[in-house]
Amino acid sequence: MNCQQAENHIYQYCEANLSPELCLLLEEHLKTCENCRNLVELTRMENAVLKDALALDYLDDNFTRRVMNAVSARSMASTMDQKPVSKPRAKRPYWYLATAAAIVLLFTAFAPGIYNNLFNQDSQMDVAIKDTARNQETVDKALEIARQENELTGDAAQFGSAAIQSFDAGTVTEYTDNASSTGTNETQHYNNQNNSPASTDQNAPVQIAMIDAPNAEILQDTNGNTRSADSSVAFKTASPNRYRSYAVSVTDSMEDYSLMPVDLPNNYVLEKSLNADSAVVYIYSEINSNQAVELSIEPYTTATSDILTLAESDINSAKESTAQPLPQQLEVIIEYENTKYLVKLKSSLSNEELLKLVKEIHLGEQ
Amino acid sequence: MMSDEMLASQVLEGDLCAFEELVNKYKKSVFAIIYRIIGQYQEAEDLSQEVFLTVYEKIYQFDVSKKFAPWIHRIAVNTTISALRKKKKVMNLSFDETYIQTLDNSPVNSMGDPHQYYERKELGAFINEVIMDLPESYRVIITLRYQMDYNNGEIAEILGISKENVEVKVHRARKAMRKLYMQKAERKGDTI
Repeated sequence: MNCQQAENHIYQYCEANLSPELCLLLEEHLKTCENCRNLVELTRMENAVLKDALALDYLDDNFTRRVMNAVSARSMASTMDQKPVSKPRAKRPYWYLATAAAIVLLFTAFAPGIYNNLFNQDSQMDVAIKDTARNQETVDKALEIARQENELTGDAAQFGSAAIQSFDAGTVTEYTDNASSTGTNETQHYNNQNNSPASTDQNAPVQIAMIDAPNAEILQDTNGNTRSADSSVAFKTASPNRYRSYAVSVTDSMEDYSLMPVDLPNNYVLEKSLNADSAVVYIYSEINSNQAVELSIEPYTTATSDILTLAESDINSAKESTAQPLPQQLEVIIEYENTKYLVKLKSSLSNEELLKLVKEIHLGEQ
Repeated sequence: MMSDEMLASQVLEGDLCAFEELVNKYKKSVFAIIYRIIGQYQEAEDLSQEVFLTVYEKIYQFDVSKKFAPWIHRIAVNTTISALRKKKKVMNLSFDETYIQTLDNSPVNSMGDPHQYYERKELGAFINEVIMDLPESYRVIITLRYQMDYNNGEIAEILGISKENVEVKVHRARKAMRKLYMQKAERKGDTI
C-alpha cells in the first residue's frame, strides 16, 4: 500500500470501519511511514474535537414557546376553517360501510357470475388474492354490519356492474387488466382521434392498486374495462397513523426532493399514497361527492413522449367541444424546477369537475 | 420514558404536550442542520420553526415502525434546500469537484506530528472557523456524520443518496475541511 492508498483508508480505519484485510495492509504501511502515522493521529484528533467544534448552542430559549404558539394558532385557524391541521378524515355517511358490506356480500356470493356477466369479451381480469383467510375475516365483519343495517339490496344496486373486492392487513391484491388493443377506453386521451394511445399502454398489465397499509380496508372498482362514470372507487381506512407515505424522489447528487401534488382545493382529502413501480399514486376523495380521484406522478421521459400533453388551451377547447366525449382519465405533463413529470388522473368525477381539478394541480416538495 | 415514535403517535392523537416534548428534543439538531446549510442565524431559526410546523402537519405521514430522528432531519434538510432554491433561484448544493481539486494541489502527507502544532482546543477552534467556508453540501454531511452521529446508512436515507456515495462524500468533506484549516493555520503562522 502506498501513501495515497493509505490516505483513502485512514478515515475508515480511525472509525474502525475498515475491513480486516485492508486494516492489515494499512498497518503494514504505517509501520514504515511516519507521515501516514501522523495523519492517523491528526484524524483521531479531529474525530475527538469535531462534535464539540460543531456544537451550536445559541438557539433562542423561547424557541419552543414560539413553535407551540404557532402550532396552536394554526390549529385554531384550521378549526375555524373546518380544515384540520393533522390528517383530515373525510366525513362519510353512515350507510357507507353498509353499502360496502353489501357489495362484498354480492361479490362473494355471486363472484363467478359477476365475472362472466360484467366484463366484456375484450377484457379479462386476473385477480390474485393472497392471505385469503384475513380477507375472509374482513368480509365476514362487513357482512355482519351489513346485516345489522338491513340495507343490502338498495345500496348494492347503486354500484351497478362494479366488481369489488375487499383488502385487509398484509393482503396484496393486484388487479391486472389485460385489455386487448381493441378494448374500449383503456387509455383514452382528449385528441385520440388523431393520436393512438401510447403503444406501451396496450396489452401492458396495469396495476391498479397495491396496498400495504395494515388495517386498511379498501373497496376498489375493478371494472377496468370502461372506467366509466359508474365506476366508483371508494376508500375507507381505519387508522390514519398507519398511512404509508411515498413520494417521487428526484435524486441528483444532493439535489434530491420529493414531489407531491399541492394546491388542490380543500374539498379534496388525501386518503392514501402508494408506491407503484416508477410512479407514486395519491388517492384523494372529494368530500362532498365521496368520489375518489387517483392521481399518479412519474418522471416524464422521452419514452413516453407520445403521451398527450394537455396545455390549458387544450383543456378549454376540449371542454367546449361536444363532439368527443371527455375522458375519465387525463394525463398532463407538469413542469417543476425545469423537469417534466407525467401526472395521470383517474376519476369518476364529472368531466367538468375533473377539468377544473386538473388546472389546480401543481407539484411541490413534500 | 416514551420513545420518539410513541410521542409521534400521541401527537397524531392530538396530544400537544407530546409535540412540545419532540420540539424540545429536536430543536437543537434541527437548528444545527439548517444553520450549517444556510449559514445565517435568524433565517435558520425561522426555518427551524417552519420545519416543526411541517412536522406537526405531516405527522400522519410518519411511519411509526421507523425511527423518528431521520424523518425529521430529512424534513429539515429538504426544507432548507427548498428555501435555498427560492433564495438563490439556482440550486447550488452539489458537490463541487473543482473545489476539492483545488484543495488537492498540495500533498496531504507532508506533515509532522500534529501534537507538535495543535492542542485539541486549538484544533477545535480552527475547525469551527473553517466549517462555514466549506460548501453547503459538505457542511451538512459533516454535521450529520459528526454532530448527529448518524451512520452512513442513516445519512443515505436522510439525503436520499447511496450509502457508498455517503462514504465518498464524507471523505471528501473531511479532506476539504482539513485543507482549509491547515491553510488558515499557515496564514496565522502555525505552520505544519
